[in-house]
Amino acid sequence: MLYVIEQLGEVGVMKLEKILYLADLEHYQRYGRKITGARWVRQRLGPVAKSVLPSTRMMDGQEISVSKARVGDYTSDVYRPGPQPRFHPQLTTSERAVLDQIIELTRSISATDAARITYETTPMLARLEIERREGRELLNEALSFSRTDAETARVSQRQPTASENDRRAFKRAELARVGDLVEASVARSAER
Amino acid sequence: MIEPGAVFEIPAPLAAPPQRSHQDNPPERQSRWVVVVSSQTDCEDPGCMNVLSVLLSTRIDLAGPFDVVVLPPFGGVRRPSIAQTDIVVTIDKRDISGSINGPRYRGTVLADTLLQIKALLKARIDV
Repeated sequence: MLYVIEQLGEVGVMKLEKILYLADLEHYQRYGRKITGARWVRQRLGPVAKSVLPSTRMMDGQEISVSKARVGDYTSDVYRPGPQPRFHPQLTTSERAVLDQIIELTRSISATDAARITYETTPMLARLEIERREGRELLNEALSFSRTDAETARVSQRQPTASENDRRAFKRAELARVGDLVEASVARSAER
Repeated sequence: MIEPGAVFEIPAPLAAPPQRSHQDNPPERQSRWVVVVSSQTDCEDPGCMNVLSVLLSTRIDLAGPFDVVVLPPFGGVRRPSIAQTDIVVTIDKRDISGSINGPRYRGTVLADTLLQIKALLKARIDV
């Protein structure tokens, strides 16, 4: 968390949480473990780690400075690097690389857009699938990062919103277009 | 080097006229974006001349059960897109300039997104 705040200079609580979640998930999928070790739960605005808030209180005035700022219709905590850091983040090479990647990509997007991205991740899709089945929101429920390929495939299947005919026409047109690519690939193979 | 999950913009058609396929930034209307889904081994193996990829589209409104959502800025996409796991395309490595440092490289999707794409592909071929 401290590393993200240092890199961004200023970040709101919601965006910070989404960056940490995406970095944790990316590191987990690539290396089999999270960076923060946090337990992520589903909240109305996406994944939240319950451990983030208490740790920011402990660091306020030292490693970070917490202030309030108006964000849209509500007031939010904003974090900046603090004046008297007692420690610096100790990160492995892979943790730093993943954090740098996520920070760079999310730097220019809003907290709402970052939250939207988290809604398309497998742990959130799995939770939303359960909610659809049960017909109610399941807030504060843990988000699991681990699942089989079959489970991933099931939760990744989107419910279509367009009509069957429109989707068929779209797919037919797409197939016709990629015909060019396939023909080109065959032609280039023949050149070898 | 090519990596799984890398997104490339490739001109379509590549074959006609031949010189078009050598342009680094072909006009958008005449190019298609693909996500590489081949294994790391195949991506790195110089003896493997092609990579498997799935086609991207911005028609997220027409998304169905075979499509995985890719939201900007991940994968370098500028608009919300779908990776269509029911449209798999074989791409000659030379046509994507062979590298994630090449001029046609646009970005890499999240590992979680690639996992979703591969899971749907596996489900389709029953493995």
